[in-house]
Amino acid sequence: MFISSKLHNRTWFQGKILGLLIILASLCSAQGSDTYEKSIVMILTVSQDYDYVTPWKKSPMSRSVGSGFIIEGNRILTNAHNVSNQRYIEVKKQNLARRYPAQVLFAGHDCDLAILTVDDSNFFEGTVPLQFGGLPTINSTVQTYGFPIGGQQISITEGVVSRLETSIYSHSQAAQHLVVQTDAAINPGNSGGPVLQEGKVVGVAFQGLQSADNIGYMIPTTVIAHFLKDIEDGTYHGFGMLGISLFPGLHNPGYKRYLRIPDEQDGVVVTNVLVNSTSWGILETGDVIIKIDDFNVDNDGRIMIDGLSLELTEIMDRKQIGQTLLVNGYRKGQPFERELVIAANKSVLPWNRLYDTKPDYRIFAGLTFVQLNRNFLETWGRNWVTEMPFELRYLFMESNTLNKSPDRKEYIVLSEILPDEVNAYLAGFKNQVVESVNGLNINELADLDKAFNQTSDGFWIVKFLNNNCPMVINSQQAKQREKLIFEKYQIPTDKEAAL
Amino acid sequence: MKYNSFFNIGISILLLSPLLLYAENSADLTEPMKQSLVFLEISSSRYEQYQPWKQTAISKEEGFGCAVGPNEVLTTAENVINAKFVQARCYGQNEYIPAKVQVVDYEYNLCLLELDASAMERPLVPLTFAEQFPKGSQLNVYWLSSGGHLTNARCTLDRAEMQNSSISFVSNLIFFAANVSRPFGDGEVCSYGNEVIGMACWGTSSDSGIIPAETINRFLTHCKKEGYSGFGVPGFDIYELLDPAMRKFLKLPDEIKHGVYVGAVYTLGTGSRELKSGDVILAIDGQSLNPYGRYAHPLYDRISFSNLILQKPDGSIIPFEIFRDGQKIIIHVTARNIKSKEMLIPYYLYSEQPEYIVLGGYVLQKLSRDYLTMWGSDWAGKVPPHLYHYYKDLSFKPSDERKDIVVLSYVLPSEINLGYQQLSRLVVDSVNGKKIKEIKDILDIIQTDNSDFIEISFELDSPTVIIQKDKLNEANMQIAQMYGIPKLINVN
Repeated sequence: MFISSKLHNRTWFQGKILGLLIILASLCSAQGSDTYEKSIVMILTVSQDYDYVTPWKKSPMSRSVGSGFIIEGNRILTNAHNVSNQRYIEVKKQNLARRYPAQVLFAGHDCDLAILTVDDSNFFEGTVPLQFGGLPTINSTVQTYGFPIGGQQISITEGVVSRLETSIYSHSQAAQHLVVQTDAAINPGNSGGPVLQEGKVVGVAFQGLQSADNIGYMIPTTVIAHFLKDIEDGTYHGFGMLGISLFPGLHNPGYKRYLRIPDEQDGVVVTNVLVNSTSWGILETGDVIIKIDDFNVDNDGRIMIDGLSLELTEIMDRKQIGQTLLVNGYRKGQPFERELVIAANKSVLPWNRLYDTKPDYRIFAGLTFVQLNRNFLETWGRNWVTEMPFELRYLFMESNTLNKSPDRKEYIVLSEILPDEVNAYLAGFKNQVVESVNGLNINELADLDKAFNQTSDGFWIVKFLNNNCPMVINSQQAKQREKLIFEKYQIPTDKEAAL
Repeated sequence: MKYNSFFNIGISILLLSPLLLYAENSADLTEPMKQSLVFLEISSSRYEQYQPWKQTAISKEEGFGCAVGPNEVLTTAENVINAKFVQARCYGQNEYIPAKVQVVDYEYNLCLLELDASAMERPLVPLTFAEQFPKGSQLNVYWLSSGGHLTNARCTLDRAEMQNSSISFVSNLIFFAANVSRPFGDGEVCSYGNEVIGMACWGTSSDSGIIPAETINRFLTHCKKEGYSGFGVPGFDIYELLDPAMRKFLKLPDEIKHGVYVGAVYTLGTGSRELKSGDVILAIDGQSLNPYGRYAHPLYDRISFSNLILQKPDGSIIPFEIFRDGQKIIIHVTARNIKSKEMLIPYYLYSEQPEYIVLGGYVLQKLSRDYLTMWGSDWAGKVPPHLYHYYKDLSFKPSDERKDIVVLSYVLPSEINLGYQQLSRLVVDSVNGKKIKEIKDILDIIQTDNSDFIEISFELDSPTVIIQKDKLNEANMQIAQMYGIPKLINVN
């Protein structure tokens, strides 16, 4: 089993939070559950996604209901998935008919958290900001608050904490962070609501397991703390990724001997370093990581932190992008120490689902070019992983190792052909990945502008990855037809797009 | 009553008359066929891909055939796939007659069997095949059933087309039959009038495919020669050349309105050594190709160029008219057959045991298409893409540097492979630093290298597997015993 490498960053400031919470503890304990209920809000969102094949169009709108709660600074904390791709948001308090329009201040799609505010300050009257607790212990009792399906009033369910471990955050489909598992019922609509223990928030309810009974998950305060600290400077930077692949292979004494690691030494083996990541040039394939900051790494790639055995990425999750990690390890039998800068270290083919991002595109001769990303691939429907064309699946699964070029920023795909006489015979090239245009390598979408600005003997020559046949376009004809194509298919021009 | 009977007879005559007229055109060959048709019982078993040391349970299949010599029988290749034992029954003889596969051509989907003459009560009467294409006519279909009855069906000959073979990597010329009166498709003979014009190779409740006489005659002629080497298979792929911009870009003169673009050129097959990617093929063997790659056949209308190549015995010369570097030239292309086992990813193994090495519990196997089909009916979308890449893009492109793709299929857990037991489906890159060109290299390296470790490196971001040599022999013995593996190595 491989530990997929990702991680996050930021300074660990639990001590600070704990101090704050101790002071407030008596205050909190004086509050009854009806006080908490006043701080819990229903969030009604209208959202609308882009069409990732023809990005000047948008999908139909949809409505959803979620929960949130008031924290310090007249802010509402909720799940990012409650407000992603939002066009309009209203919030509503318990037992009050009035709805208040709300704005998203920050959305962290990798940690599924968002901060909203309401311009009308009357909204916050009579509410008490909820305070945060630490990581709950296993088998301790927690209460979830929110507005799940099945009624209009606030719902409170109780359960115990069953596990703390690193798991996928389904909103992004890629990020992995610490989650707390509970058997308190968490249903659609609960999302974004607080999970309380002794009057303090110990998590934000956010996802459940469909195939099981009463397995609900909440986002722990370690992740919330990262998010809140991250946005202090007015921008959300997100969690970091290590940019390496790790293999827990040191269980094998032969492997240990081969790598010349002392017999008693535990550690985890680096099997790939992502091109252009902050680990690139710092770590190498075959390195063994034995310690990260002050935490020893075991043969499963785990560290003991807060009394829990967690993926070593946990220490990165507790720091911010831009901060550093001190890595100790062995290379070719020699101990080494390196400083790693925590960064987003994105893949050239993003695995995470994108939200609130207007997809960019280019159109030449009615040929639409977009970034190859998960949102585009998911347009193949429910079974998109098996249904999409092979070349795209191969890149999706293996781009981190297949791409050796530091120049590549993204892969560009021919997403749609807007039929016209200039492209009448080009249908076979749809969904292929662009390698070069007029001899210029295409490493990002903007490269197309320059490449299509020149011609080769009156032609545009587009080469695709793994295709021996070039696509040839009469450039003069294409330019003549451009205005007509834009009109016919209602493509907004630059001016219209700016509006 | 009397009146009624007369009336009935009158009706019957009226109804029968068109049938009687028809019967004159389509002779009933039931009687003569009794001398020529055989029923075949094929016992087959293949190797499991997941445990290549193991054969699957025996299954018995029925098939049909017809005499092409006193004790020689023609049937489809599909009937004898994975055959361990074949026996035949003739009309009027109760005993089974053992049969041996003489020649099998999976590309042509034909097989020549030799029956044990000493077990036969009398010789068979050979059939001859007439090269006719009576489009739209009714055909009669005959076979000897498992119960020993000469059985008959009818169908209408609809069209001729190149069809992707279900048992090989080629497309074949097939006569499509519609309106079948009862399903057939396992080696039954098809006749028009008094002539036998083909052999059925697949069938559904409504349609059937028939191998035409021209293919059968070519096969039988070739069988008589010393050493059957098969027929040409295209060693390149083509792209349609309809786009005026593309034609202009290639500098094709306006008066040339035909031709197809050569995309990938393989390292195997016809044209692999003579063609270049970017060539335009204008004609093959004097037949002009349209921009879809089809030529005008006098009988079958427009069919794919691959039929021109498939007709040529391996080694014969085919003139290709091509457009290259702005010039029209003629090149002489040698027809080359492609053997499945020469392919980087063999398309089929059939009776052959897969090549594998079990080393310290690591199951290393030569990648084949059969292996990939373990992922089920929609395997193309489910196979790990890195493995599928070799199948899709490089099957026909083996090279001196890469003759096999060797995969670590999975690990049989044992103490020696602790920590590695979850590894699976990885492509082997090198062993002890030496690139693996074919599976047998692994054995050579292990035997000649004196280091303490066997170090197996894989492609992509996989870890290096380390096996301590001093513990290997004992571990191998244990694993063989524990998991019931009779033979740890099968490498040709």
